[in-house]
Amino acid sequence: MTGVIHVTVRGHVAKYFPAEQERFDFPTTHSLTAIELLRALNVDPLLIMGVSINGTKQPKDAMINVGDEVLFFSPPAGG
Amino acid sequence: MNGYAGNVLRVDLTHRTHQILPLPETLVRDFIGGRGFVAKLMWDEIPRGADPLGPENKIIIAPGPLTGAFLPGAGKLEWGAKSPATGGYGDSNIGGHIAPEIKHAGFDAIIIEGHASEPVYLYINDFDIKLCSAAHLWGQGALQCEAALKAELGDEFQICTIGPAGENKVLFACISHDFGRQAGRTGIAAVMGSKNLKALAVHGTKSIPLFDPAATLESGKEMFAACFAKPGFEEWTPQGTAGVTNWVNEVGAFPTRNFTSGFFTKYENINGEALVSRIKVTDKACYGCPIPCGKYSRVKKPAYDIHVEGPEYETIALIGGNTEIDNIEDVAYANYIQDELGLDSISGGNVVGFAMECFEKGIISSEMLGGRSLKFGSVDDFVWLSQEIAYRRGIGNILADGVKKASEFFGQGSDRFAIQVKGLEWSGYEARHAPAMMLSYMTADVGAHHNRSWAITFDVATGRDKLEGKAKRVTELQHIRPLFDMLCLCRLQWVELGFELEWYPKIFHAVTGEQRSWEELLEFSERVWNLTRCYSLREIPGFGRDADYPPTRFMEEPIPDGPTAGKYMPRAVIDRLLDEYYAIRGWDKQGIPSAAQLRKMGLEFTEATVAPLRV
Ligand code: SF4
Repeated sequence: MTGVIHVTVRGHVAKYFPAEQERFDFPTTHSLTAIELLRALNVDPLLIMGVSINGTKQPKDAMINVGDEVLFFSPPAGG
Repeated sequence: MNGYAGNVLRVDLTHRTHQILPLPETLVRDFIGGRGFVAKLMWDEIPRGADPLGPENKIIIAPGPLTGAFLPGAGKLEWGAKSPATGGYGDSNIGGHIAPEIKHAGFDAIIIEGHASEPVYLYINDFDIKLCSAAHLWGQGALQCEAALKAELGDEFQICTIGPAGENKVLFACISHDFGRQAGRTGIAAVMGSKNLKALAVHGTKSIPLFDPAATLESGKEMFAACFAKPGFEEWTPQGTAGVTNWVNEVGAFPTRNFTSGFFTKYENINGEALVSRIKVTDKACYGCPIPCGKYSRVKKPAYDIHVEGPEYETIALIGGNTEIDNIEDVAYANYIQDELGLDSISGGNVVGFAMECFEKGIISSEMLGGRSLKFGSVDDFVWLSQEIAYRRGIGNILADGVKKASEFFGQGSDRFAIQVKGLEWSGYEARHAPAMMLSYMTADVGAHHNRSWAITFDVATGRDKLEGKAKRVTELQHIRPLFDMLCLCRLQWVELGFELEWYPKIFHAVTGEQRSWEELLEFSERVWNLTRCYSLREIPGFGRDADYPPTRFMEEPIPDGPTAGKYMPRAVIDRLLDEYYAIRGWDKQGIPSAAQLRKMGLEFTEATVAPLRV
């Protein structure tokens, strides 16, 4: 099935995503883990502090399906 | 001048007098406010060679042009003085609610000079200004004193205090406000203590002129709405900065066992989840902040029942990992003890960790501790030593001067693991495998502090073994982040939510009438960065490149375990980073700004002082 994963990036690491975008769709035909998605976007998975899939916090190796909403969190940088 | 109250308050503690002076237009034109005012007034006002703890040192307090305006995070205040910790430029920033109060009282800067013959606090109620006896407050804890002054003066007063550590001139004493906000770094509370100044109480009712009130209101509304619309807004607040604990550990940068390691195996017992599930009572925000990072916590045990603001990330790192206190309740209790004593918990945790390693290595003996021990992981030892330091008793009297001076006293190679730069203790990121973060600490103008440039995600994103581009990024961040301290705004809306920087020039224009792009504002910040360098060059004999090196541990000892095991940063790498950094800045190999650079920055008035220092 061809479709997209809806990706949102919170915070300062958005600038390391393609086109420095905060929100974009990732076209895909298959499910993949958050780590695989980040690698496909050329982003080091270590750069991301946490992942939420469809509003629920998940580990980075959790599976993301076509049509899911994914939110990646930047690490808080403190004062 | 729109955006400014229009006055400078000068308080002479020696003669118990004060003057209200017009705010100089040139100060506004060239230095904007906050940190800019602090740096310029320190250069002009504090005599060269002043003893940081003598009457000739001055405390400068300054809000900024956007302080108190209707926009997110406009409640920050800048404090400055010649630092007793480093002997050079010192500043520290505080949140809470006092900055707008100072502005509404009618002041854009307060200069406090001299020495009071007996303990006093400074009372400011608009233009009703007096020095009041603090005899009944002297000796009280920082939080206790704030409560006492609130009861005495009324809740409408905003109050900053020092605790016993400040009174006893501990070089990492902090200024406390709002029951848990601190201007913690560079020892300005010790300067207050040296002047017999226990507190500052302020209430203000005046208006601030705005260039375009309607546009200010409109921009402010848009900024708040943009904040609320940011992705992940709801997820950020519950843990605040404590939420980063897991990540810092994951990248092997969590200070552990006096920075021996970057990985703490028991991190899950002190992280954001532990804080929220076990001790947090509620969130707590500064003035006008939509993303409260403060966490108000309670720990109830048979021996005590305490409330504390925190622990935030830096405290978790330095009191938790760095001294191996491995549960959130004990970290919060140790945090509370240091807050009440008036100790900066960053330096406080660093110093105690250093002392624990000295004990482990036999450099500090049980005899020197009056027969007791000082062990990693012991909250009892932590609390005991914090009290000894705050009251300068026994070994505490040596440690009260910070790890650099203490290591000079102890000798036996302890300087290798005195984790500091320029005499200021290193904060919460182990950086042996993060060159941009390492350079950030090395070159921060106040010493080893993270808030001038926080570059560890840049290291991760661009390659932790790569050096290319690191000096450039650090330089950029050293202009961006301190600009927030000139405007006296919180930067967390930008950092944590990805809030667009373009908002700030827009509201700056609406408030002040000055049309400046963000890039133009950054040029002011670069000017101030060069000025603070000149200040330390002027005040510290031999200051320059040697002051920018990290501790030997980071250059020679591989990290023993965790994700960064085996990593260290050899001196040759450090030298390359410094060379690139100085070249970008227009400084020579010794880290001294060239005459051309000072001219370019509009700092010609420093040239006569700096020229003889160039080789
Ligand atoms: S994010 Fe935190 S430090 Fe910044 S204004 Fe809000 S409460 Fe204060």
